[in-house]
Amino acid sequence: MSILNPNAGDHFVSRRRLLQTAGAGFGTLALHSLLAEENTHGTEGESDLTSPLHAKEPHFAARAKSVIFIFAYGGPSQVDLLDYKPELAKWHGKSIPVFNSEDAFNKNTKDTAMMSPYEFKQHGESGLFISELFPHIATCADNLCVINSMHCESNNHAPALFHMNTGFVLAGRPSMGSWVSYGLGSVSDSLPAFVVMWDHRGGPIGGSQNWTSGFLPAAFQGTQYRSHGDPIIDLAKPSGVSNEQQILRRKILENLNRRHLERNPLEQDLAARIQSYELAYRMQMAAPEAVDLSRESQETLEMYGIGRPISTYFGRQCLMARRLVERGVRFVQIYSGGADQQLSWDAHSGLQANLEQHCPEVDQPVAGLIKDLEHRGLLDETLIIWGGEFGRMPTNQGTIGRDHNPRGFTMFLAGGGVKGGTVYGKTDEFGYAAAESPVSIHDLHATCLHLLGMDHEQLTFHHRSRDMRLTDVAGNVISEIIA
Amino acid sequence: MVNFSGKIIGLVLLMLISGAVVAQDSDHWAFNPVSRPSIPKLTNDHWSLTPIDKFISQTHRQLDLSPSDMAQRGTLIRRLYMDLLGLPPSREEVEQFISDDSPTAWSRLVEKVLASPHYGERWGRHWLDLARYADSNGFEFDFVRPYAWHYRDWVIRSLNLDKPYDEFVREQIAGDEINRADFQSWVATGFCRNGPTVGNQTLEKNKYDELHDVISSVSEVFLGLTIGCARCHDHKFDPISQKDYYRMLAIFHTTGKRQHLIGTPEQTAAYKALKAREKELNEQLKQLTNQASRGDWQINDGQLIQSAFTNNARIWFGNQQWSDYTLEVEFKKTKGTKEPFSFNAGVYVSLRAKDYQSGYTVHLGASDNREHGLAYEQNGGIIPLAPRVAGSILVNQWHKLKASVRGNRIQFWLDGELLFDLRDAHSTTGGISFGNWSCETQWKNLTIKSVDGELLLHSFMPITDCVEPEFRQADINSDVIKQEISQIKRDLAGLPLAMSITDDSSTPRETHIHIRGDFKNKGELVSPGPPQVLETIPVDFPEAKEGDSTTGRRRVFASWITDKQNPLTARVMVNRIWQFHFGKGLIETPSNFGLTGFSPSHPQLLDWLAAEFVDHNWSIKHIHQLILNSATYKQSSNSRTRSEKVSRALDPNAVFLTRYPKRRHDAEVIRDRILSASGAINFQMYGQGIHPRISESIIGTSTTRKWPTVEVEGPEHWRRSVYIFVRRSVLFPLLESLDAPVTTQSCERRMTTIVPTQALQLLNNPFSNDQAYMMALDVITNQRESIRDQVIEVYWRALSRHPDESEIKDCMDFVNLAIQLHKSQKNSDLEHDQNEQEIRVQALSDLCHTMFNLNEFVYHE
Repeated sequence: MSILNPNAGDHFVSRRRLLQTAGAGFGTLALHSLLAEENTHGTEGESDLTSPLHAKEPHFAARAKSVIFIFAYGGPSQVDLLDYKPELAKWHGKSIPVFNSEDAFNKNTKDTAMMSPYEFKQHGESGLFISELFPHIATCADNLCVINSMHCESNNHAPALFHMNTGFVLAGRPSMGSWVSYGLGSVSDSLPAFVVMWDHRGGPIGGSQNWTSGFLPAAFQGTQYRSHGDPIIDLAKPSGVSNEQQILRRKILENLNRRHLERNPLEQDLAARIQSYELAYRMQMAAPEAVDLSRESQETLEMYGIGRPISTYFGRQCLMARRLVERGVRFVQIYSGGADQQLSWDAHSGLQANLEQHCPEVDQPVAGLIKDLEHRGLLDETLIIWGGEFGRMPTNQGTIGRDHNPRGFTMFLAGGGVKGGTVYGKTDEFGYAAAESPVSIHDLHATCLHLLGMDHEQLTFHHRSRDMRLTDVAGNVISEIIA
Repeated sequence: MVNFSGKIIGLVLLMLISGAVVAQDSDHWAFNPVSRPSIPKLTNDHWSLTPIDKFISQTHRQLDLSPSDMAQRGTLIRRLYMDLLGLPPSREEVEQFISDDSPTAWSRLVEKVLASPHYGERWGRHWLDLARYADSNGFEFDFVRPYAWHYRDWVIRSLNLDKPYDEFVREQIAGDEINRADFQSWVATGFCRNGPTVGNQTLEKNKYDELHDVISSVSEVFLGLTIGCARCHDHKFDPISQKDYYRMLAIFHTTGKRQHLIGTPEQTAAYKALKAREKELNEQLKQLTNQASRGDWQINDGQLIQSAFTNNARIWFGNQQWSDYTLEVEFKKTKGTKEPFSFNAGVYVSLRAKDYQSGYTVHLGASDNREHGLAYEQNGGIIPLAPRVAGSILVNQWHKLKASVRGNRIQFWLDGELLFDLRDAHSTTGGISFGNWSCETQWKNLTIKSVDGELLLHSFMPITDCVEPEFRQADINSDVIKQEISQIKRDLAGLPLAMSITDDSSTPRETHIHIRGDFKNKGELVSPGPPQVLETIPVDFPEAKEGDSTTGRRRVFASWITDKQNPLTARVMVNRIWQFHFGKGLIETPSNFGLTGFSPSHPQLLDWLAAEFVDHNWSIKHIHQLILNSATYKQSSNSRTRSEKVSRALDPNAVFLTRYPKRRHDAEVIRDRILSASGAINFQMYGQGIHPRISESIIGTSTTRKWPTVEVEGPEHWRRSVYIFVRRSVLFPLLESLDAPVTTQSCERRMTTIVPTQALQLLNNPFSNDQAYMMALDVITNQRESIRDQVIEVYWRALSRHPDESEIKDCMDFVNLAIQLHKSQKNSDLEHDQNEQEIRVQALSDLCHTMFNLNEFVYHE
């Protein structure tokens, strides 16, 4: 990383270029000629400048180039969506033997089974069982690799979120998106490597601790992209500043920085910082363009459910995600569900109301994303991850809710070199705990890194006298699900 | 060139000898006592000014390196001010120093600057990094720690007073045991409380996770040892065993968290009164009902206006017999709420309403103004009819609502976009109800048409013909109550309440080794003690005496840490001081002096400084003086001469101090420098954290709104950055992007990253633009008539130097161009003179804005 090691010489070319262009004084130019010059030359691509997030080679041949992680925050209920458990109907209202009250988060969680009120059917050639709540996702059954045997350590949102995002239940470690950006850089030199989009109801609990770069350099932290207005905070110049004014300011800044560089010819950091301003100006152009959906066809918009009030918001985010990875962004994370309880997938107080709110919001957009990527030939190189921080109990909380369940839950992957139309791992007959081929979060992380061409044991950062990893001292790649 | 490579080989050899060779366990240099080395005797030494220089120069000579020339006087005074105070010197101070030929000019200046109260604010920030200081607990809801700031102030005061470092350390570990009657001593133990709150599965596990933070932080910060690694197993590389970890746990095991009031009887009484009032208000909040209430509805100039900020204001009008009809109306929210969790707030419109609390009700701006919902209401009960839809209602913007009921089909459109379209048969007839919750609204252009186009209503009915709920006292604005509660919280925070630790009992808890770090898996019983490798310093933990409130273990441990014989404490701290002066310590792993840490670049110098530190009563300012008066510190950073360039090639990272290392200022210094240049800076010291403006889109996306909304900043926000409230989940964006620490662990040394988002913030954030404007206005109104004088003044304020002639010329040309530009863009609705003045200010503010973005502005040289 050039920004970490200012002596690596990455900036040398640009410094020389800057010194070469140091020439005539500022005032020899008239206003109109100065602005005219800007318009013809000022924003051209500058291929000799190296981005601080420049792309890096993976450890071995990668299957996927980028990741879109759709985070169903709050804990979606596996037995109502993707983990078909016909046995639950037989046990409905009866105590199930595997229930342990220590696993539950709430005191009013019962040990009696609550069958799914939703119908499951087999879909696609693979015959995956998918609930009626996901009619669109069901049409992509043959693309999905459903992992039914996920498990995690905490039954509480914040630590479980941190665990899923960073590999540790305590806050402060770098997130998976940061690790991926650190390991691979960005293909784009004018967009962030790691983008986070929030639900319209707000961010998840723990806020930025979920996409922090932790002890990795700040450059790798997630950048929040908004779906309306300026996509990135402070991206656009303030409304009171005209284009011409910005160009003029930029000219004098370059002029004075150049003089300073001449007085300090050997300071690589100074040249790097001048370069970061060039990048910033380029980002001003590139970042809004990346999420401008006005050129997308009506057909594409409809594919993502844009236009239907329930799915428009999330559909736009999924489409933005496709445009971002097309432009070289490495890792996009989209949160479905914000705040808490019924505003997220946290169906304590009403399972059906919750699922019937959140499923139609994401169903068509996620299916549209998979189909659109496939249609464009991008699905093979884009890994889609769908899932939450834990699952939900197959028993009832109160009368109509389900409580958190860290013992067993479902996530699915699609594209990016995974086997479509497959199911990996099993929970017990109740859908309570991972029973066959259990997958830990470290395993999931190791597998995702592997698909991106990285060995999770080699992707390290030296911190506090240790080589730190996303997967700590654990994690096994699940080779069975790799195509 | 031959000579050149010879030098490199020599250098590599030396680095092998000094650095890469790892000593064995107890032979490890850092565990051996400090013995004061003699100062090197150098022949023909015309460079050295102080003993430090002799050590530095000795290495230079060994490696055939040479130091850089002395920096110019202007550079030196700027360096000193920015380093010690984080603030630039004034023009007068620079000019006075430059013209002072006295040989003692520099040392007098050093003394003067060290005496400034701003010193504690700058160097306190370094310590707060180490102490992982924050004003909130970081976990899940990231609750505020309302009394944490006393610790920040204690650090600033202690440094300004040059409190002996041993005392400074002892109070942070055991202030409650050392001086039980002193509020500040309790505050000091905040060091052990600053870590993030842990909440996981069980209280027992949380306790050990939090104690782990204390043990790790105490051992890293004060001893430079990474004992935390030994929680689960013996340290892989360092001679620290798992037993050592649990012996240290035994010292803190009985310790619990406290919120301690130590004040006058009046303060105790005030505390009680405030607490009682808070309880009362919370009760009142609970009384507020969800039932419909009477607002303040009036018709004025054809518009319906609701101007009471109540809970659930409703009004009903129309005809009970209406069945199929279309309603169109425009509405504007003139006031909303930013209180968190205002899920019910928003605008309500009901169709087929039998009264003001029944009917098909659309709730616009539900869920903290992020969604729209549709429900059937019946006597205040709610049956949701459809999933909610993303959207919000903006303040002071007219929105158009269209709604239609036809048979069992119900449709709503907002601003032309379909919101809801469904079939339902709960109600077949009824009139209209409008309402709003924690809002004030205006309504206009109402039309209601029957299905065959007949106009049923084309203006608002007189209020007297409408039906309104009864007025009830309990419906008064909940925001008023919430505001009073906030005020009480602020008042409480002003009382001498310490966020501290103390022991739960004088009888120590038994401590066992936790096998593999699992507290349920108990191993051998251990007694308290420091790491065995350091047991050469005697330590004894006596039983607590009758009547003691604590075990006394922390006091004993703190004395052991600050024993003059402790080989680590003084070395670790002088290395930190060195690091903050030069950007890098004599050891580059400042919190790890163990075997996995780096070896010192100048071991003799490190020990000499450590000996000086202890022998001068652990005075931090004494070490500052030794460093600041050295020739080493006064070197140039530019590498402009041939010999300097050679030195830089051989010593690229300035490990051997062949120049003063140039580096970017810390985040806080950059913000403070902007405030200082603009003249807006408010030097008020101490007190509760400040909340400068953060973009609404960062605050608003968190349901719990972790930062207050600031529309326009004022002097209360323009205090130094060390006073900015540290909210763990919403770190202040400008500081965060410029590499301020994340506060989850002790930060031994900040990283410096260079990324475009930093540029975007400094270019586009309202802060830098507002400050630039204020600076320009101030410069122009302070009798700087000519553009030339203005440019010179801008240079002095921003960069503390006089611009050279070519800079003046380019900047003047720039300002003239900017004036032309602003003139061409100005619409002349202002009076001519006013316009002229405004254009001049804007043009100059373009220059000021540029100053804040310059490399020279953000680099320490």
